[in-house]
Amino acid sequence: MIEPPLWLVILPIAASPLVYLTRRWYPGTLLAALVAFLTGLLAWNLPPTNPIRLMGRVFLLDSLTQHALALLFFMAAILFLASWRLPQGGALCPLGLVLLGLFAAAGMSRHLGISAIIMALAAISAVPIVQGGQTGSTRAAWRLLAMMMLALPFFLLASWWVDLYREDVENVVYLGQAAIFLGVGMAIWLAAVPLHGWLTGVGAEAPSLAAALVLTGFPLMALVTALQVLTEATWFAWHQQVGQALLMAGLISAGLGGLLATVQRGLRPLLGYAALFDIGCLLVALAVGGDNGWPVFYAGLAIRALALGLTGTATAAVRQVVGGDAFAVLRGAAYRMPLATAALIIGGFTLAGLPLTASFYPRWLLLRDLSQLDPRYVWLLVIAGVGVAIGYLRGLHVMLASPTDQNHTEQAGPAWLTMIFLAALGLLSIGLSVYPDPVLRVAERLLITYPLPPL
Amino acid sequence: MPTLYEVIDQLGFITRELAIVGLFLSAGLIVVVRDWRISLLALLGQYLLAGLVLSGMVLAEVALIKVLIGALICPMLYLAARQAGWGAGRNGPAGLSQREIFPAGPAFRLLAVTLMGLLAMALSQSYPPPVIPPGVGLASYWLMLIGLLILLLTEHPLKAGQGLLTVIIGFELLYTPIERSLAMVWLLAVVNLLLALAIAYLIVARDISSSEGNP
Repeated sequence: MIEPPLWLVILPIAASPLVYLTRRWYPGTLLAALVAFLTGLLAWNLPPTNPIRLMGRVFLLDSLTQHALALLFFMAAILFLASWRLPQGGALCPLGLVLLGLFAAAGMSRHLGISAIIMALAAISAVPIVQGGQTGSTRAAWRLLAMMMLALPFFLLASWWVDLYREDVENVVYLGQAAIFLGVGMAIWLAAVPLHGWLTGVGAEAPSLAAALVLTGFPLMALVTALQVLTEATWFAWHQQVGQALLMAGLISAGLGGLLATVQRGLRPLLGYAALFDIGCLLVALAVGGDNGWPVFYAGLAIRALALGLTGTATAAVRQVVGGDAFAVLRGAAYRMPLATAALIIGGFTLAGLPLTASFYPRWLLLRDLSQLDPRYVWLLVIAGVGVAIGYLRGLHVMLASPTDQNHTEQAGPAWLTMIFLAALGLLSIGLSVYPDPVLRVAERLLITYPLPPL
Repeated sequence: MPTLYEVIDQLGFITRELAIVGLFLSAGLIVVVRDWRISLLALLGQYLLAGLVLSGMVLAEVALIKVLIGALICPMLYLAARQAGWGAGRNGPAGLSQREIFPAGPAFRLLAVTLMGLLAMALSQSYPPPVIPPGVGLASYWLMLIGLLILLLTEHPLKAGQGLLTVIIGFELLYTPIERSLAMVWLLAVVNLLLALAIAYLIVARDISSSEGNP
């Protein structure tokens, strides 16, 4: 009998051939979304299970992985449905399902080497999604592929050193090397500056819905794996150093992301740098920890998915109608697509952590805790957040300018379902700013079932 | 027709040291030579030589898997390049020259290769890889550094793909003797094959539009 958690891997991968064959028709998109949604429901509702052994390796669905996968599956279901009539390349739905199945396998694996190999396979399957049928530049897909493949050796060597230590517990010297390799591999996975090229590349060149999925999925699974090591690995004893490294990496990533977001000239590059700023804030929240930091971190994961989903969908909708995302061609777009423009700005502001968006309250709690550590860090994050907001305000300024060319050719707009999602996700972001309890309650519940170690 | 095992037996005259020298030359060739067909041949040679080096340290079947993977990967990349419009001449699709995809000049590349050689020697002395003989450790460092150098020099998948595969060959020289799980060996083989498929896809995606526009 197949263990229930394995269905999280099997279901999406098994459905992908059928989705591939029907990808040009609406039922294909619908099927992909349905499978992602049902698998998400399964992930959310599965009771705690015992470890599973496959090929001599242990797989376990813990509550953290369970919540992360449910979030990812639900987000993917929305992105798949929104992708109907938005040109994202034919690979998003079928290979997106494969990607989700691989993420589930990587999240459940308790062997670093196996997790790393599965993540490498995920990066390979993400290549056509990121390329999205575009010809010419392959920079985004190439950077994702190359960086994820370069991370693989570090994880394999770390896992080998750990295995060696387990065989000979007297030799603690192995563990230091394992920790160093693990740190480098994680830095690549998390796109920490200066290894952020793949993240900003995907943001700038991939179709926006694909970018939203990849920019949410890879860092999320990297964080899940990192937390599994920090929480469960008895061999790992460098929590304090990890805390300092995460704080520095987070501050630098957030600072650079915010700074460079201000000077971007297109919505897609802006999305990449806004995502970099957001991942920086998540790393800082994890490093700060404490009563506020950890719920903020868990809540931040969910809000990041919401913000990237909203911004990605809105960017794709604008591109569909205007025919591009460079600020130079966006003049007057707000009059043609008021709802998509509003959703774009709400999504961008959510990534920036501005008031009246879902991320404001958790970000506020984070800044309060951070001020006790060093007030300069607070200023850095605030200024970087303002940088992201300025980037989106520049976009809004162009979109609100009166159109110079009245004879523009009107492209077919996105499907009504996409517009409904934009409205719903935008309202959800505003709603959560006024009433953030639901997200924080889930985060606190998760903290009880999966407590994080002090860093 | 001889079996693959017999072929490996017949190649027994190539000592490990000779194979390591071959690895140095073939990897250097990928950086120094611009012609994509010669560098693909050098990559194939790398897989063969890496298999030979490994055959003295691990089960012959495992070494054979590495050679077979290389024998599958190189034709895959060749076909992708041809489909993208890269032909026998100096120029590729729509007049895109090999100089454009690998812009650094020959003097710079030679200097960079020399520096990588020195760095590989320094690293293998300061941080000798565990379990494997020093010569193999040196070759492993060399391949990984040369692969990284190629990745730094270009982002064109036709050339950079060879760099990425070179990094992985170098890593496998170091990792295969220490990894005892056959499942991991198989998984790595699958990763290698799928990686080559992804590289082939990107080669076509990068150049197909310009090749279609080419009369």
